[in-house]
Amino acid sequence: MKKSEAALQKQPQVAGGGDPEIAREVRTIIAERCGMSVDAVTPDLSLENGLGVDSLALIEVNVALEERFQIVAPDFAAPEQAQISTVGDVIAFVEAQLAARGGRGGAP
Amino acid sequence: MIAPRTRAEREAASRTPEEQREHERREVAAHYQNDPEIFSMVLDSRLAYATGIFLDPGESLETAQERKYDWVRRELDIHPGERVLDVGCGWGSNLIYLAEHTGGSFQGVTLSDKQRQEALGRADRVGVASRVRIDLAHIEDVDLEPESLDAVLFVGSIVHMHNRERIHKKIAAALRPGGRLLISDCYFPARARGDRESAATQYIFVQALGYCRLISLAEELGMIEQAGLDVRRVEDLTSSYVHTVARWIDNVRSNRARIDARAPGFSRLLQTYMTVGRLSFARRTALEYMIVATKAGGRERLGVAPSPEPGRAP
Repeated sequence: MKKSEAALQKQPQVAGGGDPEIAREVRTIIAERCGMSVDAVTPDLSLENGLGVDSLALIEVNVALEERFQIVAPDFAAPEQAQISTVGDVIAFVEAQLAARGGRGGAP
Repeated sequence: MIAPRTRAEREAASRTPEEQREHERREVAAHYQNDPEIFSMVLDSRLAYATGIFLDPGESLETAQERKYDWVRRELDIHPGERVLDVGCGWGSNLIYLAEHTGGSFQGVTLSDKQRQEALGRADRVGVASRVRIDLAHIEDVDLEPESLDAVLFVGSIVHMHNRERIHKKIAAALRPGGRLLISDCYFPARARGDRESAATQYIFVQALGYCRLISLAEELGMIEQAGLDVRRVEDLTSSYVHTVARWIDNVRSNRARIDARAPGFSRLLQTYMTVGRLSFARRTALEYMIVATKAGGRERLGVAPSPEPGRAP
């Protein structure tokens, strides 16, 4: 990867603008838990209103992401959890956790 | 007759009492038949599967559970030779603590043979096996002599029992004058909050735990009173349960691979249902109470337990 490209990727987080593989995996996990197609799970979709699911599905997304990426995530279903409100926020959160740890999660 | 609040309850209401008992025997036992080693990675060292009592959010789970065991010991005030029944005794947490700290004689009841074996093993290791007996049975099938028991406890267990009225009458009749009843469990607020028909409710009540019935505190107290007992105290432990469950979830996270090695997918079930529970208690759409009631007569008991200093409350 050329330096300029690397710099481009370090631009301020556009939702889902980091590692496309991670974004795809997060969207796949959300799609599976919420009974949607991956293409329909776009970064701008609101967790609370856009997915059309109840708190159980969101909790299942939480647990599945924690399992897959070996991270600890806040409860997306909790009302006090305001910082993560869209699919893009979830993707950015996972990317930030993995970056802080200096690598991707374990084997799928 | 209390109107059903959930799908699980409506289904229970459509069964005969015998069918429901059989349903509980099978469905509730399934969760507790998982390897005790798994629960030892998640719970405190004595394996209490119920709330502890936190005075400070920074305390350890072990400290909070120890405080609860000791609170139960003081409430039940068991004298040497007194007979105690622990209904839904689990892996023996309260039963063995009480056997170690009092001179009572103990009978536990559980639906899970794995729990029974684990509890008996633990009783043996701490040298109280001669005063501990554990039956594999549904409480409705256990014969209890009238006025034969000095104390009965249900800690995190009565929630699995549908036919409450019947159970309260049976227990009240089996208590001696001066006998004590202690319940620690989950309740719904009397005025509905949250969605009791949600997929999350169904998941925790049926898929994860087999069968749960949450009634309101007033309904439980009413049945206790109708059975002839006098309510001595009620403590709201909802906030403590939020912290207890949060510790369990952290323990599931840090032992995920070891749990799944013993039961594939079980860490996911535990974390999911515990998170549903934690959020419900945090939002107070479900409540956790400890209830103590007594049968008239026997020893006089004066005094009340003081509340903790306000600054220390979580």
